[in-house]
Amino acid sequence: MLGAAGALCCLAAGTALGSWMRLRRMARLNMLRSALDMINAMRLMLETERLSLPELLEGCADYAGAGDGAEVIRKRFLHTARQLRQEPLEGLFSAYAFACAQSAAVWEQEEEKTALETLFTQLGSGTAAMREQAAAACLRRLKPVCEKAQAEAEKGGRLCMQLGILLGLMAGIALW
Amino acid sequence: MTWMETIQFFSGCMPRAVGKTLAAQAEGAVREIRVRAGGRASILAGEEEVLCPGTFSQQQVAQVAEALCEHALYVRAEEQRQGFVTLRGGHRMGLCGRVVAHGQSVRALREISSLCVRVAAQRPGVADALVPYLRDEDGRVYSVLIIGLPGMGKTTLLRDACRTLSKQGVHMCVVDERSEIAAMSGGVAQLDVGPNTDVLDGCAKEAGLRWMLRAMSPEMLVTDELGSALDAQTVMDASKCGVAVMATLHGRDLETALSRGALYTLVQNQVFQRYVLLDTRRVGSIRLICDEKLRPLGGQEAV
Repeated sequence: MLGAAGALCCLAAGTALGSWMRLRRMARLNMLRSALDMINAMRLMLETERLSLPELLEGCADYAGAGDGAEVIRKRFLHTARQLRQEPLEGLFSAYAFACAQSAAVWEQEEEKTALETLFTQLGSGTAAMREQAAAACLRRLKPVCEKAQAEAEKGGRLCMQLGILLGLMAGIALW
Repeated sequence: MTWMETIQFFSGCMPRAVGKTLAAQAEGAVREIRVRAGGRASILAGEEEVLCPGTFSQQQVAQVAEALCEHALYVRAEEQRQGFVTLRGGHRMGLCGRVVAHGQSVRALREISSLCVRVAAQRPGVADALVPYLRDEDGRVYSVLIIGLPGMGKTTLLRDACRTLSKQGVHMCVVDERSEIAAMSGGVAQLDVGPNTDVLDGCAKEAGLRWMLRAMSPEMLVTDELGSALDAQTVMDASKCGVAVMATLHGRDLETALSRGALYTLVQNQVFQRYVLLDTRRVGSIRLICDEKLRPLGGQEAV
């Protein structure tokens, strides 16, 4: 009886591990998708509206999707806007760096990190047209990263899930 | 925006030492803040100039300008090209730096090296001496032109006259091209322009005056700083529609101010029934009030 219960527990733990790894990959994809939507909105707003940087960032935050990853990027934009308002003498980049420290994401990888940092460096200076150009360049950089992340999440997510179940099953059988 | 909020806003946008000096000034005393690269910031409080500790680098001046504009300097290129931008609360920030020119026209301003913030003042009651001259026997409002040198309180007088007439029930319509009269923020006027006043914010005078005439059936139109032939033509059109206009004009005295180009036609056509000339030395003080034929009616000189 105990052996059967232990085996079931191992199976459940393995499944949970697989599911967690899958969710982690999905969170990154979610963040990248949201970042793309928000930067697309930013481009439009830079083109058509006359917003200050904090207003622009808050406006973009409305375009974040749902889910863990989306929430991280949304919070970052809002934190950056708040930091700019509270410490107006700080530049945009240092406000963004502060926001990143406030809402760090373990799944974030170097590619998207660099793309977003470059955007926030360029967004802090120049004319409206130059800033719109910076947003467009960031979109160009993030799109292939997002496509890669999607493929990885679909393929790798399923694999993680299957591996988790298999691991749990094996441990369960061994325990039995 | 209260005085406390104004000073807090300015202090937050300046290095700490300047912020402290600002906060130490008496309520309502600060008239002007100047910052220059390679120099010290100075605050004009009342008639006294207070120097702040610490020198500014060019980068710091640019940062202060950005902060004062709430990081919206990049969308205000059009205003920058004219040399100044209006800040939250209706304060005017004049800028200097390296101009990127295209022939005679200014394309952009780079490397901001100095700035001058003129603090918008609300002085309720400053127009009390003027208001009795603004209505005829039937109670209808006259068209008024306020003339004075920069920084002598034209806009403050205009705003207070607007507030007083509005309180008396006159339907006032303000075309606030530079957001200096009412300082609208989130649809609410930050400076008191009266309970019976509609404000069109950020709209060019010519389009704005026509807009108000068409849309809001005003008794009096209020706008700042007439100058171009187009402005004069629009004011003329408004007066032909039977709507009074209250406006300001840069100038030292009546003769030179009114002899300028298109404005001369306004005088000739007696578009304004009242001319108000401000003192050149004392801020907000009325030197002379004249009728449509430039005959003195009141003010220090008439007395």
